[in-house]
Amino acid sequence: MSSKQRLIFGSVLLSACASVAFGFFILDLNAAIWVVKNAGYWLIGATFSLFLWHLFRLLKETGRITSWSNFWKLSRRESIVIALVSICFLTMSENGFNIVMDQPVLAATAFQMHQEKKTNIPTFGYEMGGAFHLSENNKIDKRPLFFPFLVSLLHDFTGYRPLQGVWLNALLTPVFVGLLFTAGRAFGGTSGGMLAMALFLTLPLLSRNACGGGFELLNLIMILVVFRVACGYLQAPTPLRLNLLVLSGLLLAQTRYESSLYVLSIGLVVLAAGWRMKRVELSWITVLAPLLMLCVPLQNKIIRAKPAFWELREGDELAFSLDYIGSNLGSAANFFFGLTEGELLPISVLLSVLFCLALLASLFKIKELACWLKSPGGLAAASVSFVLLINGLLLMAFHYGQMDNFAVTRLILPVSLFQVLYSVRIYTFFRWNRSVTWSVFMALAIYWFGVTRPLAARVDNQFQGYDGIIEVKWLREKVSSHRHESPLFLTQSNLIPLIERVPAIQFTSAFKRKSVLELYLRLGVFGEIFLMYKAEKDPDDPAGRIVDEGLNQHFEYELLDEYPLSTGHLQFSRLTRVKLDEGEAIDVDFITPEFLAENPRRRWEIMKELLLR
Amino acid sequence: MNRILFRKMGRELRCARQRIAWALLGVLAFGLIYFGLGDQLAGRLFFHVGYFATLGALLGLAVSLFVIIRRSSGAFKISDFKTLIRVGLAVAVAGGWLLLVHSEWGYKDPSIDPPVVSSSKNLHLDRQLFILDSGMPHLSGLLNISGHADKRPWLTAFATSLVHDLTGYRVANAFFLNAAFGVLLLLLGYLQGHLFFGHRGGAMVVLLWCSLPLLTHNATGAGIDLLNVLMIQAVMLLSVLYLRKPDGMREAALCFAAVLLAHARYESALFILPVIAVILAGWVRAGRIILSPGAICAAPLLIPLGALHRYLADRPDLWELPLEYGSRFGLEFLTENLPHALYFFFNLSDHLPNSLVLPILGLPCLLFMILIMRREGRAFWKKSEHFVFTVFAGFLLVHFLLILAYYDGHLDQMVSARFALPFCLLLVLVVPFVLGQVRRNQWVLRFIWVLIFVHLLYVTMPVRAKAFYREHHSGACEQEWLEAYAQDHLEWNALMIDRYPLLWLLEDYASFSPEWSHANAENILRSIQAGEFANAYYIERFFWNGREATGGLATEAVNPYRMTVLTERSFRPFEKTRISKVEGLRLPASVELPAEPSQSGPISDSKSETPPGHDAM
Repeated sequence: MSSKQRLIFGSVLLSACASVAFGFFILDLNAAIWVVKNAGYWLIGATFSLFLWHLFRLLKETGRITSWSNFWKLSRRESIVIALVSICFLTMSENGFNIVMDQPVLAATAFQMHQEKKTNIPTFGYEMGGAFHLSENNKIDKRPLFFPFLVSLLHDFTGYRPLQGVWLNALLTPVFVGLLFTAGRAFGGTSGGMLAMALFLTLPLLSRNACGGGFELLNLIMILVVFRVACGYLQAPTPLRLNLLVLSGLLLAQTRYESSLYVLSIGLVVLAAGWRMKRVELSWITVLAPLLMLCVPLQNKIIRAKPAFWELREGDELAFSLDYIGSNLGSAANFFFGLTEGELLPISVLLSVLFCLALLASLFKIKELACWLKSPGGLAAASVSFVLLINGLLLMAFHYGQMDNFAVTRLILPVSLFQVLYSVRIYTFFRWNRSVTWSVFMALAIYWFGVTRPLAARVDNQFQGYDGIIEVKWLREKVSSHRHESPLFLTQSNLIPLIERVPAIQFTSAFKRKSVLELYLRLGVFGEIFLMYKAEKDPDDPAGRIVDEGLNQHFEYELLDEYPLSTGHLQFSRLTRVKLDEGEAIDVDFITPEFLAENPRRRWEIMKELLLR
Repeated sequence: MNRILFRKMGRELRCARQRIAWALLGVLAFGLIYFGLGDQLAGRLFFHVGYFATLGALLGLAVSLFVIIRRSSGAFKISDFKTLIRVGLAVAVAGGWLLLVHSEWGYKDPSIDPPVVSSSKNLHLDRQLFILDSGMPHLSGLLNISGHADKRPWLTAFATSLVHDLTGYRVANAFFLNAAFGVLLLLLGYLQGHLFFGHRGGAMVVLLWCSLPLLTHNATGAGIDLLNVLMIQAVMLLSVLYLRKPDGMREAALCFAAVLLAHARYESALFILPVIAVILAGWVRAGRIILSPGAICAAPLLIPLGALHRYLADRPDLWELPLEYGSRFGLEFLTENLPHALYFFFNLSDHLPNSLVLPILGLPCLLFMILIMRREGRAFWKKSEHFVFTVFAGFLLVHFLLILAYYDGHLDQMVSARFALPFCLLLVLVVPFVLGQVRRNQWVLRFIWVLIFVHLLYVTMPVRAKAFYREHHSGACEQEWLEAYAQDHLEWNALMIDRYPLLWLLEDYASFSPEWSHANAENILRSIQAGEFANAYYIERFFWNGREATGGLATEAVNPYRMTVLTERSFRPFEKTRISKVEGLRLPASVELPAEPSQSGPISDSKSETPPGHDAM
């Protein structure tokens, strides 16, 4: 080992120790919040910039930057198929937020990143003279930062859109399909690539995520990127490729919660390369890497400090436990094979069956498999698959790991990727002639038309009827139809108006700021103040009287519209009076025309103070 | 050597006697009009002739450029030029995308932009520089009830009127034209940067411009400042073109462009001086007095502009000068404005549309430029682009000092920040200029690129996205709301009584000022009865602290109307804007409006039949 390598190795150890020390021990919760909020954007920005720079250098070095086809190494026919498959994915579900607990939060974080380059979630926003301001707070989300960062970049370069996450996923879909094709092609030539795409196309679950605003698709892409880069590094372990591998691993680790596990597979790949070449050449990026990942342990600290982030249900004490495995395995079996009759899930029984057959078939191809596993591609696939399987097992031990729960199904996507690629690998060991290959593709096409597409449509129909989805849609509709009135929305889902750049606060906050709200009404700060709330049916009243959430203790309001839900009603009202106690009203009588004439700039400052009270 | 040159010049002088006589005559005419006319005559002169002088200069420039391009097609490699333009255009369009992607089109300041649009509308209709104060739609256009001559140099209004001529009148033409000027500025900036530092220099100019939110602000409004910078840039490029190969046609193009530049802003006439310096340098280089017909025409074409300046000089009421100030310019303002300028250029917050990277890179480069001039001595001036840039840089500095010596030159206020654009042009161009001259250290160059990119991505983009620098422009928001309300709820032939009637008139609504409407209240109500207006609506703005409303013009004591409040909204803290419908008069002998407008014959003159204003345009 040269002295430079020794220095780098020492520095890597030092920075890793520093990262662990700061991430887990030295920084307390407040400091962790401060660092993630203020430095999170810049750390992920630096990682992504370095990744792009190294990717550019690699493509330049390998001469693949000269043309589009050279970049992907795709023929025109393959490009057309990839485009068609992408279109199929993007048309199988309705576009919009489809996980209403997650995706608006990601959109709000991206909005904050775009506007303030900070990573906290906005809780209040207000408009002043045509500019929309987001208030300052220390609310950090549990979700990793890479996806909202990309959304914020898209905002930066193409202008702000509330559903930018959905647009990003639409743009990422052909990237995913292309990477899937090239991964399949690495296993079994063009037909392997086509088979990978065809198998994934039978799974409506991917389409749901491609048409939503979540980070699942990006997670799959980053897994495939890590796999590709790992293959390249194992073939020619240069410092440039190592840098790219490390940086792609860092980005993957910040895509989904559990994706930080893939750091392990990067380590395995580096070890495998060292074992093959009998040496490892480290670079300065590897020194930086632990520091660039600082937000991951810090966010973990923030999550651990707030039990609500785990969304534990009644009776559950731990987020992860071996006790959950039994029931979760049953749910997983239900998901993979559709065991419960009549239940609509975005699944592919065909894929599960083919995967099981591939597992059986691999017994007949043990030799080829073992031989392939020694190749760079095999080693890379084994390293990534190892973590994929750990990921799957972890999911089974997770309190929220019921795969047949509609909101949880998306967590299985990395496992589905493994199923697809493993099946492709095994089936391409069998050197089928042209007619068999065509028959397989015909069968898959018939399955897609006969089963997958109608299933996707039925699932989508069912999904659009969920209360949560209706609530978000109705709120978005109300926000867009009343936005010209310069309104303030009081609603529990305040992020939906905020990402539409319409001022909104939650009821809990509104109850605390009643006197300020009364002043807003008095001064006409907002054109209208609207309330949007879910009213439940009163079980004591057979006539079906609607009871609200205690709003009438604090406010008087006039009902404008309502919408039925399965569990009650959504109501949309206009605030007419705030009920205040004696002396609770804010006095602004000192503000007179003379006062404003003497202090012309004070009017804006006073208003800002009032808005941020 | 000098003696031969002067002898040659003397010979040329004799040959060019006739042309010189014509040119002197033009200058004399200009001088006579500037010093001899009273404000009334001067006002009439620019009011009626201004459009045609500008048109003449534009046509002259177009013809000269056409001839230059035709003549020089064999002189340089067309393929190289095409590549340059193609690359430049691609970079400029990409830069334009970054510039405009977060922008909101519209008036940036209701006191500055609408008069320009009004002038353009009148140039389109009558070829007269006129701003409406009150009026109503009429079959032959707008029936002017009152108005006044525009005091602004009219190049932007003229250009907008050309777009109206070609595509029909609409307010948005002014915004789109400025956006196009923004992209054109990037393209010309690219070409200028390319002269200094190749393609890298061109790209650097575009990126530096993109890092300035102030440019976005101006490129999406209807103001006159962007065209001014564009013309300075164009004149600089034409100067280089002329100085490289001085001939009559290039000189003419330069002179016509300089005339147009002088019409762009009040103080832009200053840039005629560097153009004269360049022309003289061209004569020295060519060894003869060129004095083309274009140059001879330049002085007479400036006569209406001279009349405007004469008119302004004699009308202190138009200077908007606060009572405590005796003069518009003064050295005492320089010291007062300098801290404001420093605050603007080095501002770190997101409340001003500045670019920190410009002074950080540009100011040291200005110093380096002086060092380079000293180092290279006479050789420095031999290159045309060096000569031109140095002369213009000097005048851009003088211009900046002039702005600082202006009573309203507080650059850290949004209304005045636009005055900084020409100095920003200097800061943008000096960076590739210096980089093209010094021995380049790759690390320094990389550092500069990273600095520009990081600033653009992580500072400019969020500042532009938030547009907090717009936040006190509540007037523009108010107008958007009023127009949207009128479009959704009011009749197309409604009469709007508003303190700012111009904004309504530009949208083809009839509109009177409150004072005028109070004096003619009964006539207005009769016109409504006659069906000339569907209804009259009154826009009030008043102080409001939740208990008492004061300060509006429509207070009990003044307002003769009985009204019903339709809607109200607050756009400035403790102030409300209210739209009310006029129902009748509050006075005893009031005219009551029927529930439905009467279909009986018109009471007022027959000119005022009520066609849709939209068709009239």
